[in-house]
Amino acid sequence: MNHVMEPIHQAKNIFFKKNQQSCNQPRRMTRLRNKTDSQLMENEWECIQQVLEGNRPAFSALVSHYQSYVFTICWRILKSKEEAEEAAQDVFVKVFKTLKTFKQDSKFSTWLYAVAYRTAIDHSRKKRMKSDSIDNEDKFIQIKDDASNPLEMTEGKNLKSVLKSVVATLPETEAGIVTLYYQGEMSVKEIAKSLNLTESNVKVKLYRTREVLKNKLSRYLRAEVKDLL
Amino acid sequence: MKQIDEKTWWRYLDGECSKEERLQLESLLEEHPSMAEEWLLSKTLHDELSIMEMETPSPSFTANVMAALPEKRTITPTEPLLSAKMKWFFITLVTLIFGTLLLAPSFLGAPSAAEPVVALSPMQDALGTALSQVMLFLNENAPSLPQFEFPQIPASVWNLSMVLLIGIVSLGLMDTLLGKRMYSRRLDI
Repeated sequence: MNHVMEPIHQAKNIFFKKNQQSCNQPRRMTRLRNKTDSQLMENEWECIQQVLEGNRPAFSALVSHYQSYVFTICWRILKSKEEAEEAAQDVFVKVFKTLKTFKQDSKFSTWLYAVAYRTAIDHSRKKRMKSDSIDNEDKFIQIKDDASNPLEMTEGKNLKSVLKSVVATLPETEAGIVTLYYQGEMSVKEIAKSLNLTESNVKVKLYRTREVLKNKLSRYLRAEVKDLL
Repeated sequence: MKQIDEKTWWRYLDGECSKEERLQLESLLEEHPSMAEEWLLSKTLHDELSIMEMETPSPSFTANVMAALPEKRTITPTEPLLSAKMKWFFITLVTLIFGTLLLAPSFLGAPSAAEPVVALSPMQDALGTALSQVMLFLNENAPSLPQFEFPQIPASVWNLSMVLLIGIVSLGLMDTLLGKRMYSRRLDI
């Protein structure tokens, strides 16, 4: 029995050790950032001030730094690269026009992601109105019928690519919450404020989404865990 | 065997558990290794979501955004409604008109400067009456206070004060209205 339990304990200890380190900031530890970008963003507030003074190249630096974050939020909500690119562009134009209203009481990224989420939702609504096909937003996490099953599509692929495909099928709000929480590194409180939801509502949605993802990806997750054990 | 609620695991992974709760969960895992696999599934998903690659827009994205930004307007002070010369002209004109209206009756009626003020215009009359009423009220209702008497102001001094007051008010108004237009700058980005 001991020889079976030992690897489990070893794996568990590795994870616990890792988790203890990252418990207070679980997501920040895993974020890999471009060094040049982070150096540039050290003076983010200075950069914003320069933009307000009319320095356009400073805004270009902000766009370069945040484009992937904003684009990812838009893509996860709109499920289309072209539309996401258009929405992300709108986000930055909006930010440029309203930058003088940004106050230092919150992080710039938090403000930016909130703008990105709202803009993407607006685009999505317009899209729905155009196509006259109104999705039932209350319907909880279901892979859309018109989309092929991502698990079938990604047969033979690894967990990372499957996870990406499954996340891409999440409904707007859930996709937004997961993206803001994990990629945007926003707290539940910040997400709740940005999305006009209660904190408990965000927590429940986040929990359910992760449970659904866990069930959908259980085969891949088990394979990954088996390797670890 | 004590079952651990899934929510608790997620709270643990989110760093929301207290130290006691954390230790409790860890000891439970120690005691029940069968839970380890389920726990690892959640942990793996959490880690994978944390390091999930972000989507990259097209290489021309930044350039497209910069091209879509509104054109920067040239920051130039807006033209004032009236030039500085015209501004002074209007101030002088307004002062002269009011001054003439107020002073003319005094001169035409030729009251001496030593005479007590005689209400020659409705404005003077109204102001004088109001002031008298205030004095009367104070004298009647506040006997402890020193008794006031309405000061006898010569008509010419009264009129001159009014002209100066009107001049200062017009100057202030004109300066405020025109000054805003002349000096306010807005940064249009």
